[in-house]
Amino acid sequence: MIVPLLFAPLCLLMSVPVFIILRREPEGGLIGLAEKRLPGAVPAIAALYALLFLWAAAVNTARTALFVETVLFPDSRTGFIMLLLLIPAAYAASAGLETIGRTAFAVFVLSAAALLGTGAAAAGNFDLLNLSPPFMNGFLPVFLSAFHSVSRTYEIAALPFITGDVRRSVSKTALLWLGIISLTGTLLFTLSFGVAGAYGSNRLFLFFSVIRTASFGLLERPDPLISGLWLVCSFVKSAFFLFLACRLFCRLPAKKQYPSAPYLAALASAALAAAISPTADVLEKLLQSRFYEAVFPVFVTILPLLLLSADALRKRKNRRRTT
Amino acid sequence: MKNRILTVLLLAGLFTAFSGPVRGVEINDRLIIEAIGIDRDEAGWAVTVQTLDSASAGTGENALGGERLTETRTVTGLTVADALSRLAFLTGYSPLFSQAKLLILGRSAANGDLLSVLDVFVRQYNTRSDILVAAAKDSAGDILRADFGPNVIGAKVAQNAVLSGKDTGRTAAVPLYRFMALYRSETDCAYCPVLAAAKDREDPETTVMENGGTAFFGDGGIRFLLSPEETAVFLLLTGQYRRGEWRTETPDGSFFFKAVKAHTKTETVLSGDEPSFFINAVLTCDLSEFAPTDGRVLTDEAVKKAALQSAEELHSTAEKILKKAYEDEGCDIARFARRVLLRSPKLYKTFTNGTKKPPVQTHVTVEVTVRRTGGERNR
Repeated sequence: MIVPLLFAPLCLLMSVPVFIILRREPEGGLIGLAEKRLPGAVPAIAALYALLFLWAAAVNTARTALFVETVLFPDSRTGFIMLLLLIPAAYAASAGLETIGRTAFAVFVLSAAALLGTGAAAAGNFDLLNLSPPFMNGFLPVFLSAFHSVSRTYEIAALPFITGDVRRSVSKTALLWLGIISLTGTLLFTLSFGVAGAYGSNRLFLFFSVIRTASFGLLERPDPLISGLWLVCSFVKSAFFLFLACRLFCRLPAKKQYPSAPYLAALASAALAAAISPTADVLEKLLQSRFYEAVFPVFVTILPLLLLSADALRKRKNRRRTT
Repeated sequence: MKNRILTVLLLAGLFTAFSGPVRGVEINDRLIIEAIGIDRDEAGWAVTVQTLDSASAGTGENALGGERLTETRTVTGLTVADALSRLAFLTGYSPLFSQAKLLILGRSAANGDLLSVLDVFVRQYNTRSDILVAAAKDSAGDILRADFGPNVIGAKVAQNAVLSGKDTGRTAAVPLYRFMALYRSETDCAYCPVLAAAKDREDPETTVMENGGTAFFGDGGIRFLLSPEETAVFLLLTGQYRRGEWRTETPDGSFFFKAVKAHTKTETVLSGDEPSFFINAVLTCDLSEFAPTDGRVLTDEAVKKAALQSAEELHSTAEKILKKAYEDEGCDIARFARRVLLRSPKLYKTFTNGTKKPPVQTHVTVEVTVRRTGGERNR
């Protein structure tokens, strides 16, 4: 449960280059910086990030499908679930960032209220003796676990691509978001392990298992409510990543909008999701792999750092020329 | 406008598409399971389920043809899941396990490897993780097949018996997730209430539910049992006691106390050679009944003496239980090891290494305060 507390500082540390770009290029973001310093590399950079967001949408879809197949409808077909999620997501992506943002805010409010209510109801089953000291097995396992959590946070990589569309400071909002995520994660993990104890050690969907123990008043089973909200959250997340993938793909051959792009991206994402999750075991192994962890620093730390270095070099060159 | 309508429809679809059956099974085609009993037999596993008569729901008559609201069936299989899978074939209905509120382990099933017995309920999400767990004195099937009278749902009687502990303090109700957490833990000891269906002594035609106390589990199954009276003290020691009643016999007469509030605090001290645990239980109770000896009147002094004697009796039972569980049976029912873990992970390893539990010192104090003595004034 200490992992989410480490999550925010670690995430912040790794995404320092992203925040520097947000400060230097509040309008153009990462592509704006690339256009200024490495214009020839813009299509390649855009393609790489577009692929990342397709990948993020696919992973999100695959995990949601796993949840639906495991918990809600064990007899359902993976492909059907994926399409059922991705087609509305593609539509939302085609409607634009503002639509996604407004939907996300409404879903956030609903989710926060539902989590607060069900969390409070489940808290009655909390037992301090079910918890273990945070660094019982040393610092390294905790750090690696926190790093693993960070490596799932592709939203950080998205910040330099939406900075021009956001009225308020993206950096400040992102910091606030990180703080909320970290604090909520800590509370949820503490609650989950305090309720489930050793029962939770191997649960695929730990918090959902804990929610199933909660009941308040006439609402004896809040888990369908949480499942529904979680699915809508997943839809918003997929829509956001599909929107970003389309935005970046549309920059490749010409700066042109293609109305069918979100649907094609959704299909590509569904195919990718199906490919990475032929079985739950394959998906879990992939999500736990070093490859999965390596993707995050490449896009959040290394590539932005390379761009910043190119920028610094160019500035130094310019300064030398002028002197 | 068209877009807005489409958005609303898509969102409504997302909300509702996943909240009901994809290949809709009507409620009348469901076998609504109220309770599940598991016994071991020669062929493998015998699973008894008590189901509601959903086939006749809303028809105004009982389609099962009897006077009962429920039907009890036993299916057998090589494993528990195998047995359960035969239900649909035998009944023609689609079983709905999520309504089941009680899981009863027969004596034969409880004395085996519980991880394999309960795996299907832990692994699959079609049963609830907060389903109550109980053990049967003999056969789980016998409890579910017992006739508690016309229009009485046996599973409900058994469930009420398990939950009665919150008022009587004599049953230790435990949901599946907590049972499994204790069972899987390296140092804890899982427990559950013991039930038995027996003929009423006064009216042999009627079946009644009997409280068999609490069973504590180890690797090989049930390690030992506590009586319902001892269960109350176990709950008190572990801070789970809320309300309950007990009787104390004194030279002044028989006192019947009703606990209205209980508070238990356990302090862990690791300074000496052995970890010490100071358990302090404070019970606040009302006097429900006083049956005097030789026409004696109730005095304040007599109430105080009875309260003191109650505290002593509870203290003595507590020490007896702790000795029996920890020293004789090697069951850490008061979760001493977990308390040590929170303070010293290094010392905790002595609880997990080796088969014998490390020695601990326990100091139990029980305080009983009488809050009210009812509507009669003391002399």
